[in-house]
Amino acid sequence: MIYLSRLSFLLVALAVATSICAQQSFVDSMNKRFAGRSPAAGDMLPDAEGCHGDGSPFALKDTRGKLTVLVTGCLT
Amino acid sequence: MHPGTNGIVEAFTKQERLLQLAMAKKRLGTTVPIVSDSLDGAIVRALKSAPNAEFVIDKDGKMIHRKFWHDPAALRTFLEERFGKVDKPTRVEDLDMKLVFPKQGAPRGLVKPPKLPGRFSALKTTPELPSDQEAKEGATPFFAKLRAEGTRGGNGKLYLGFYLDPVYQVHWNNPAGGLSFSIEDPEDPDFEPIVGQTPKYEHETDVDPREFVIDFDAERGQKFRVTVRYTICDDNGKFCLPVEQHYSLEMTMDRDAGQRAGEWMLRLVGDPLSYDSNEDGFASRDELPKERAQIILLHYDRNHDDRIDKREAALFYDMIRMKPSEPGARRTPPPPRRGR
Repeated sequence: MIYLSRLSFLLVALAVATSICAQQSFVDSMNKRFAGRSPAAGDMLPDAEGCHGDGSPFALKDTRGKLTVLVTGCLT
Repeated sequence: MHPGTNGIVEAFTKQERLLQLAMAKKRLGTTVPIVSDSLDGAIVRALKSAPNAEFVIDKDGKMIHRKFWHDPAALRTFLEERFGKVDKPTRVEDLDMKLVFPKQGAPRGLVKPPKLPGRFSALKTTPELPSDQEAKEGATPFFAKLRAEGTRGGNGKLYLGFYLDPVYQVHWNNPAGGLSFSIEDPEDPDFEPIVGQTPKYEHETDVDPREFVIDFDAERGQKFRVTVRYTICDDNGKFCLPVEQHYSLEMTMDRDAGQRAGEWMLRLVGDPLSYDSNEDGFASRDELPKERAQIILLHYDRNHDDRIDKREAALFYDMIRMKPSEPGARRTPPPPRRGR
């Protein structure tokens, strides 16, 4: 009985640890993937077009001449 | 990032994208410039970006910093180290962000989401949009937008969710007969159409998505045509309208369609108030598990004060349409014990 209790405790602890590790490794793997694909420090910014809130065109190259912080996100 | 959150799914037209942008600015009460990507995601593709990434670009157009997950505190540290400290750094309070939430025209939370067996992935759906000429003449917009998903494990299930786009400020007109759909194979005249219909609801109106999980076997890449019929009324009481619209549905995974908000988010970010170890009613960054603090704050902390309160937690549960205490919601790992 004591053996079983300890075993269940270990299983619970393992499940919790696995869950936390899985979340951490997900973030790590996404970080690694991102670092391997997106433009690295020193690379020129690629050009692509979107639009401003009023519908007028916006291009990444429009940021030239200004120190720019760009944060991606979505409404949801 | 998480379609379906607050009813929003992918915009179908540039005009809808701009309306969503305007709504976001109003909700956040922010004057920070927001730009929109093109409908085909040209900027995200060019930057090979992530949903919440950050980039710093110098005056010559060179990338000097990038991070997969936006971290405001770390970004400030980077900028200070690189360019020096400023006398009066802008604080979140200085931005005077008023979180304005839209007035609800109709109730939410009356129609419960279905339980999904297993993991589902988004499928390619293409609305049959009106021509430019028809749009100019005032074609009916896609008030309800289809999100289709299939099971990854191939157990033959199809999820269809019809979400009312909040930019149109409309609600379902339930007494008019609910929403119905049919799926046909345009290439195969012998294909028996698959049909579905919402049950009869007692309440007159709501804005909850209309969702179906049906048995569905198809070949990968096979294309179908979905027809949907529903009736909506606008929140200002000016019109009610029966609508019929069509989509092409392809049995191909849509890798750009993100993952819907739902129970899995509860597993990832958990119940933050369970970490309120000093019981002051707030779960602050220091109280959250270090390795998940950023992702938890990103999802819950609406006013960016680096802590989560009951109202913010309630907004999150409303967004994912589930609470940690509900059956089916897996509990988060217990907070680490302190003071040992």
